Amino acid sequence: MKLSFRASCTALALFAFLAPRVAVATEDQVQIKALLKQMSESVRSLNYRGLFTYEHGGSLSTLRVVHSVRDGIEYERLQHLSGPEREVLRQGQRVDCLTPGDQLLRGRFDVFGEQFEGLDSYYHFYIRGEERVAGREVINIQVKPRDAYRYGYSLAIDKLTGLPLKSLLIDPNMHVLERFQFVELELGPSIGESDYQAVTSQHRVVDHEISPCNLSRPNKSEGWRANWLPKGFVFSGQRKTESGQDMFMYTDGLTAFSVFVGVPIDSRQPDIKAQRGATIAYMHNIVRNSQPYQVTVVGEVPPNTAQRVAYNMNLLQSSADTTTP
Amino acid sequence: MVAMVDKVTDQSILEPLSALMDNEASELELHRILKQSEDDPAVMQTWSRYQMAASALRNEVPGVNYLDLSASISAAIDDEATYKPKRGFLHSVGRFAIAASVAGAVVISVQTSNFGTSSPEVASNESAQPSISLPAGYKAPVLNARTVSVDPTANARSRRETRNILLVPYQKSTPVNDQKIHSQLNQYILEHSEHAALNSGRGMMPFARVAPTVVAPIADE
Repeated sequence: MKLSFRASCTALALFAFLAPRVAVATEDQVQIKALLKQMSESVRSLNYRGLFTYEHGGSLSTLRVVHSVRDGIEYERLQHLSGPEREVLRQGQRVDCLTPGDQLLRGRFDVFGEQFEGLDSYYHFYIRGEERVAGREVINIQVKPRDAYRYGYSLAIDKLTGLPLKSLLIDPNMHVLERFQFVELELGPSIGESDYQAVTSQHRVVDHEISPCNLSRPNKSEGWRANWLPKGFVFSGQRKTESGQDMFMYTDGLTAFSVFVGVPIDSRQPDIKAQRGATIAYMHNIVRNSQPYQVTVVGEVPPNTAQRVAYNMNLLQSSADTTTP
Repeated sequence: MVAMVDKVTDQSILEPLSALMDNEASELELHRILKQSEDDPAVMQTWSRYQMAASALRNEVPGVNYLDLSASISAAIDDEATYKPKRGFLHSVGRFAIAASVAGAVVISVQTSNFGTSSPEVASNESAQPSISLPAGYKAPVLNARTVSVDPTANARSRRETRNILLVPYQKSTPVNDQKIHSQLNQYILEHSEHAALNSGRGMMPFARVAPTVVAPIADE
């Protein structure tokens, strides 16, 4: 009797425990979708100025970011406050231009057809309570990959604005590979012309037309094609780099990697794997149409993903003539 | 998800387990549970499910752990080597364990073989960095960077040999190719960050990943 009584108590308890959890879980998923959408929107549409830290492998750097929108156009500047003077300027992108990454995060992924089934097909999302970051209330979202081809994240999203105030990148062993964290955020600051002029000579002006806008059907790469991609990654643009390499870009909305194809530095060189913080680079030489090529995959993905992509880039026959180095 | 949990082989352990939940287990029962839990992992799983249910009744569910637990249990069942969530995810994040790499230098490991093959162990195991755990994340350790030159005969070495090379830039002893690779990788990371800044939803944050570009003394070809 003792057993059956206890067992039934336990069963009842389990049931009582599970039923509301399922409902809460669904509610959470709805909230998470809304938060990710809001994150993708506010980071591009709001006016803000802030200081944040970037930390990896025991090194910490501090940066200042200014972002504003005038007449529907984004103006941004990122300044390194530690180490050598450096800054990045980016302006000219229209706020209503959604990159493929934006489309995926905002749930407008139907244009990608079967390539993308929704972020929750590739990651588990959990709400992990609230905390304060940069003196502001944030909601923590934990993002766990469903496969071994991408990393996990812990995101802290500002409750009021949806801005991402903290982002950790986490490997399968639960090591934090890198951390971005705001220490100060000013919303709607008065931003003048001077905020968008380079302060130092060491500045870089970024090409804003790197990714296509508002795709209505999936783009296809020209010249080279990835014969294998982790599920959920879509092609998000290509361009020629400054040094004349072909660059192909892929994203799943939260994670991005780029593939560079060009003339090898040394065609006999063995594969090289390099890592700094969360960024991995995998360099692999191949021969196509009797021509040697160097394929390098760079991104915040696990080494096996980078390697597998590198081994599966293929020269498209029709354009073989035009891509010959 | 509950269905994925292993069943306890010896059902008679359930009564002592249940008694233990109520703090009514005899010492004999306790010993039996401890012994059996070593032999049968399902006993521990059952125990943690009971605990979970009990804390739910006491209204002290952390609001997170149920899904977590089942995930880690199924991972344990599958014994999936590539992805093993540990218990207390947030805890370990809080402790801020950081995989080390050396600031300013790119850690490069050269794989001396496996052209054209893609055996999974090549990629998964030798990550280029040793892992260290840092309390609170602010006591950065002094990292002793060992510099090893790329051996030109490396190609001929035994298969699957991997060495880590910390490319410490601006060292004159570093072979030219290392310098070239290093600066090319830096340029790639820069170009990639422009892409990531538009396609990963976190604004300009990815630009922080770019290390200072160094005008390296590259010998012309």
